[in-house]
Amino acid sequence: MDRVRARAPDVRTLGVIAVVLVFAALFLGPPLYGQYLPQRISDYLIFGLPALAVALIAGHARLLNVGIGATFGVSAYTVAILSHHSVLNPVLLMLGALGAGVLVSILFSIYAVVATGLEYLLLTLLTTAAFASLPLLSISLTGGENGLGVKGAVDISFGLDPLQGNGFYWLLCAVTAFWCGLSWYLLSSRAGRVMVAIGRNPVRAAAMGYSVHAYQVAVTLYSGLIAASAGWLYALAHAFVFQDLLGLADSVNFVLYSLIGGVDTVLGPLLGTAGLRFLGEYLGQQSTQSQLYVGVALLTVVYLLPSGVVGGLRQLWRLRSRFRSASPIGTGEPGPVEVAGAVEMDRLFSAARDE
Amino acid sequence: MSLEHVAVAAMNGLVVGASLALVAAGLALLFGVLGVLNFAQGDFYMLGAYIVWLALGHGQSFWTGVVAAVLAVGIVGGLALMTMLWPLRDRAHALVLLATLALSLIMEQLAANVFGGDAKPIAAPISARVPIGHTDYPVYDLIVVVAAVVILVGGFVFLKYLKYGIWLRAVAQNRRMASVLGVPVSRVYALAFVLSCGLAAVAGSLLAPLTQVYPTVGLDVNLSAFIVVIAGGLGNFRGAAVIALGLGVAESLGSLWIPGVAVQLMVFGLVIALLILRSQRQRVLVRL
Repeated sequence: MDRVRARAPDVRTLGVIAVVLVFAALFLGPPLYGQYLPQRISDYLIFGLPALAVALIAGHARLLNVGIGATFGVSAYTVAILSHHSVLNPVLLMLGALGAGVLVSILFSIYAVVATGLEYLLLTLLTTAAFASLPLLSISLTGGENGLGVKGAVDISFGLDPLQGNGFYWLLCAVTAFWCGLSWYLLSSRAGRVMVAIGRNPVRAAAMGYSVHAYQVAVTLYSGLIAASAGWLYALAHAFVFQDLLGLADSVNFVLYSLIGGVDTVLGPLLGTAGLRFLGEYLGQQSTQSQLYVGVALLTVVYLLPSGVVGGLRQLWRLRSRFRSASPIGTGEPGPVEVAGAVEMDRLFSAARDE
Repeated sequence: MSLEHVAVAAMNGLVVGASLALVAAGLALLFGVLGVLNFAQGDFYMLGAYIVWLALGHGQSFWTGVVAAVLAVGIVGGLALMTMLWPLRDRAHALVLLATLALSLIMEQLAANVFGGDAKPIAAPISARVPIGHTDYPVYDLIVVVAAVVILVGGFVFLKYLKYGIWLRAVAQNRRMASVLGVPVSRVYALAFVLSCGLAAVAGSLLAPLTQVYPTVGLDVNLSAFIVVIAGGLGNFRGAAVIALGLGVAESLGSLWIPGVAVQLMVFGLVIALLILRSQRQRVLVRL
């Protein structure tokens, strides 16, 4: 027992050092290889943030949100629309995008209060489908099917050019590091522990006196801010927004990225995004069969790594640690929850059954 | 706006509603019995349409193609889907959703590989038209409505009065209890999969002359079918059918006076409100 206790802080410290090294490499490494690599990674980071938002809601509010694309898209559209109305101050644009994202998140947080499990999923699915129709309702404002360009050039992105130099890439890295750091900090705080408990078993958390709905609303709004910041960055990076940003396809992709990476982790969704997008791009270049391979990859995750890649690796690590520390007093025996390997995704939607 | 316009719009709405009802009924059946939300339902619809196209290409009649589509997609597709999802039967919905989504991606890519990405027109087997005022309305469209109504009524009778239908409902309500009472659960599961895929194939093959056939044709139908299943009550076969017909007519008639997008948004709003209300009512029932 003492051996396990003595070893635990070391593993934690090692983990922190590894994450710091990863972010340092992310900041410094890609710019050494010219412009192409930072631009590719920029895209992974922009799409990884909404995936992180989905993972936080799924992993810690036990709700699967298939509508994060709406938050992401509305924020991106807000930047474009404001820039067309001569609002070119980067801070105002950022606040506008975040505010719009929070408004959409308020809608999702209402759903978190009135519905659980599959009903919540369906409500978010219908909402994002409805939001995808919105640009067609006011074509003069949104550009309709043709989309809308973002005006203001580099002025709206604090003077950082997404296509020249590394300034914009570093801004993206900083925003990502900020959200990851804040998420880790929040999850390790007392409130975060409650969220973890709700993620594991909301009925038990409610029985202990915690307001499950209040925490679910808080997680939904916080995740909305993350997705909104991604929408803001997308509009700056691409200088163009279009109807599909709001649609179901993006929302489903964000869910896939987070499930594949692991919903119970902070880095998992980012790695899932990078992995799946890279796979799609690479296979798209090699052959016309990318959709087939992505489908096969998805099936592999479903059947072999149901708690996501990072979640699966973490379970393997725990399993290894437990077996290595197995002692005659029997503390090292792995619990069925960890060993089953299907816990993280299996927890989703089971709220309705529990309640 | 003449009465003729309204009548034609209503007829169009009925055709759309009938086709939606067929796809949605299969979805509702599978969800009701197994709790499976099948993202690949639209792809079984697509397969049904392609089998009709193949049959016509090999000199067979349209109706032979429809029968072949129902048998092939229903039996082979249904059992294959069951084999794929059986290991996930007691697992989270998220895993099943992901698995069916993966299947959908794979089926669309394979369809594009085998048949090509272009849209293939299929001629309606009946070219006769009936006059509605000054408009000649295709008889085949009316046959689609009649066929859908017959199939859905047949489905209702099957679920209500026949042995396997009653077993299906029993398994949907309480699988363990049904098993204890001697219901062959695995056979009932297989039947649900076969019927669900068969219904998608009927819809795909009957509607092929109206929509053409291409690898993603099912995607366009799938979202509408999901909406219908949600509005009709998850797992409610009859509710899905009624809502589909009502929705088709309402959308078609509504588009005469207000923009189509606005009608669509109103439908979304209505279904969201309905789902919230139903969710609240269920909570009250649970509390009681």
